[in-house]
Amino acid sequence: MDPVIFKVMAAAFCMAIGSIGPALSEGFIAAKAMEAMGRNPGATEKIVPNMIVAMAICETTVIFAMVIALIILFAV
Amino acid sequence: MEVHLAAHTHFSIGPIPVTDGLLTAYAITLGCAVFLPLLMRGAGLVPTRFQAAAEALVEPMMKQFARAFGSEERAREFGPFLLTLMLFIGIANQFSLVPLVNQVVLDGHPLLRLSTADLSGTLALALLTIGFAHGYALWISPLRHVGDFVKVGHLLHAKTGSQRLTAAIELFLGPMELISEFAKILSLSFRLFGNIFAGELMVVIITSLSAYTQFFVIWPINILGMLVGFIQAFVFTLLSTMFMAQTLRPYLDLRDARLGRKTEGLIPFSRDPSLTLTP
Repeated sequence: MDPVIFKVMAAAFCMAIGSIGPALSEGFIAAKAMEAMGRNPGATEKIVPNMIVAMAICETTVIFAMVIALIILFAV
Repeated sequence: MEVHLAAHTHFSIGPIPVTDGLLTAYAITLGCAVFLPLLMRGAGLVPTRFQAAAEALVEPMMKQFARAFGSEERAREFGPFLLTLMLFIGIANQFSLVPLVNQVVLDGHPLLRLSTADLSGTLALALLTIGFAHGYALWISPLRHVGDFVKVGHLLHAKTGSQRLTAAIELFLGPMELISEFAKILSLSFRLFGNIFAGELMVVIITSLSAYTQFFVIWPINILGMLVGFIQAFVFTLLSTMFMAQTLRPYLDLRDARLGRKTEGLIPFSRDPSLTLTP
């Protein structure tokens, strides 16, 4: 087998497995935010910026996985 | 179009390589230094339009800093640094909106490249922030700050057996705190780098995939990239504030006690890094 196959498969598995966790967690954040907004619609403009910032922070681990995948593809 | 993970060095001034990310950063700095004083001309008690917009940005951030660092005067000490960080990262993330910036080539490589899409750029920003916090703590009280990481104080003061046990356990927790400082640097730099580089990469790939429609199919991706740029600038600043306040809070109290300024009436700092935002 061509060694390039292993590189490509490594990058693909890295991204595939690495994006399961953050996707679920961002869904949880959004669900809890929706619940809070449904309970208290007047607090929407306090909840939404906090939700967006929390999602940006939860995104971090999948960004790590993406950087590793890019390094595997382009710099190894 | 190709995409490069590493920055490309154009030339070297002595031992320092001048890469395309560095040239972009200097272009942004020069642009800000020239245009911002012009825009803020005529600022007074009755605000001009640009001044009103700038104050709408600065004032919630200063309240945030006051809540993190303790009081308004301390927020005014650290505010300029953190707001400059936010301004620089916010502009640097949007730099690809400048038209024709990729076409200026020097020996077949583009002259300018996003400075935050370059791992050395974001690593420099993260190192600057965390290094400043630790450097200032070391300046105020070196022994106490080193003692935070090498916790021998408890071991010397322990009397009973259970106190000695907890002191021995704390001796091993010290290096973990040091490792978590490095984790902060890595996470700050990689978050910013990953988001902005992914935006650029998406543009390259989607443009190369579409045959006749590549000029308008890329438009929603660019809008998303802009949004991500602003959000990541804000998140970087927020997390830098939290990290700096976490490191510096006891040392600022120490310094104010030494200088005789008042140390009560401060806003307390909650130890957990949960986001305490109110707009």
